[in-house]
Amino acid sequence: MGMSIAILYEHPETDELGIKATAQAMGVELVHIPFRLVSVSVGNDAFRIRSKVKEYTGALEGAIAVLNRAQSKNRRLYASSIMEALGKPVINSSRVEYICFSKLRTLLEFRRAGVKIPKSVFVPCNSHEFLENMAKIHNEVSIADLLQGELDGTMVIKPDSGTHGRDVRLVKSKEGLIQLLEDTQPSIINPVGIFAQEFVDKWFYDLRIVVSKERGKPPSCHPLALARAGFKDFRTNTFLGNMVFGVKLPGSIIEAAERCGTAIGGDSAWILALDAMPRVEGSKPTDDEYIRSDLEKLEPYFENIKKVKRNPAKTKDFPTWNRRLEEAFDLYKRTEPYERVRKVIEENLERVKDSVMFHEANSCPEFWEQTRLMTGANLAEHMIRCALSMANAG
Amino acid sequence: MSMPKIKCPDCGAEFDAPQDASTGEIVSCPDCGLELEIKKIEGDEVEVRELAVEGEDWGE
Repeated sequence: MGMSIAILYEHPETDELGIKATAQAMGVELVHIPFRLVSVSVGNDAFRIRSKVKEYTGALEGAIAVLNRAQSKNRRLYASSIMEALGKPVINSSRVEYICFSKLRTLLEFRRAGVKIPKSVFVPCNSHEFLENMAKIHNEVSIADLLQGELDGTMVIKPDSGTHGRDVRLVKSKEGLIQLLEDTQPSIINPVGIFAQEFVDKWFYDLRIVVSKERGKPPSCHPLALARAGFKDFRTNTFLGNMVFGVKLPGSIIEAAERCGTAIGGDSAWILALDAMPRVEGSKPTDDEYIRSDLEKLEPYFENIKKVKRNPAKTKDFPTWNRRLEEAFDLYKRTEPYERVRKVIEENLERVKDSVMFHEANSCPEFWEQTRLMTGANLAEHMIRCALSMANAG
Repeated sequence: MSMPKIKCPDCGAEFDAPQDASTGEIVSCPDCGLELEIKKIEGDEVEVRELAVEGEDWGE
């Protein structure tokens, strides 16, 4: 019997192309069902999904499980709920999507699982509101007072739902906080409230940790994490010029990551990329010039990686582009500065392992271009195995 | 006269380019809904580029 897995997405990124290539290598038939310009029709006697000219209902019915790779968080939430209601096992479940949608909901689950989290404050009120007569009222000062009543000194204001460091701001003074609140607007993913977090001195790196669970098996954390490192910005994402390293995780962090995953995904099958940061503070050398110098030496190699990544031909000839990307990462990883910085992070991580805090979980992580090549974790394989385990469990 | 054909780079569907199609125009693949920008038209051949309709709720 031919068994297919459906993949839902609205736009193929290299991750989705990577999932297709991995499925092919694993001998699994992957069927794309678009999830944007389609009609999802629900009635008592029938369900139907189709685009303007093509019917996808049969493809969905024939799939034993579904990978939900919609990039829009709202769309992803709809997709998982629809699939579950139709009895289709879906990676990830609507519960996972709902929790991961919000930093606050994620932190509450981590806290319940006894995992260390950064102190976070949520004020369920917007900076400005309108009265019935459309007069505007300003809550900035009251919100600032509430936040400062809970968080001392420097704090980080971030959207409860968001990514890529967008709208993440460091605030050092009350004036700065009020100004920031004045500029904050509600949005379709952050309709209500202001979210703030204590500023954690993570020295120059944070972690992206992959954890997954197949049905009927215990959760499993990948032994290597992606460390995002640099001194350019307190936000460590690579859009801001930081670099990446593959680092071995101490056992206690692996164990904490598995607890985080279980807290969100429960007993079913799931895959998550967790964001964690070490509270380094006193456990760092007073002089880190040698690290800055090594990072500088690495810049041309990392620039070469970025050049390959930017190549618009990547979707046209994915295998060739992928080979070039692997070569560029290989060159970067084989340098002495890379090895020295990697070692510094691993040694520091061992020292501060009990102060690592988990703060976010990503249900639809990007992985093909960085996590896979730095840690060896091909999340596509994990996703497919998770989906198969759900289907096999019936 | 036959209409120039567009091939969707993701799902492979082939469809007619709109009448009087010009470069820079955006069309959707009728099969999968992917948004495509027309880059070049040469005779019957139309070169397209994928466009991502990226909303503020896009994220991992």
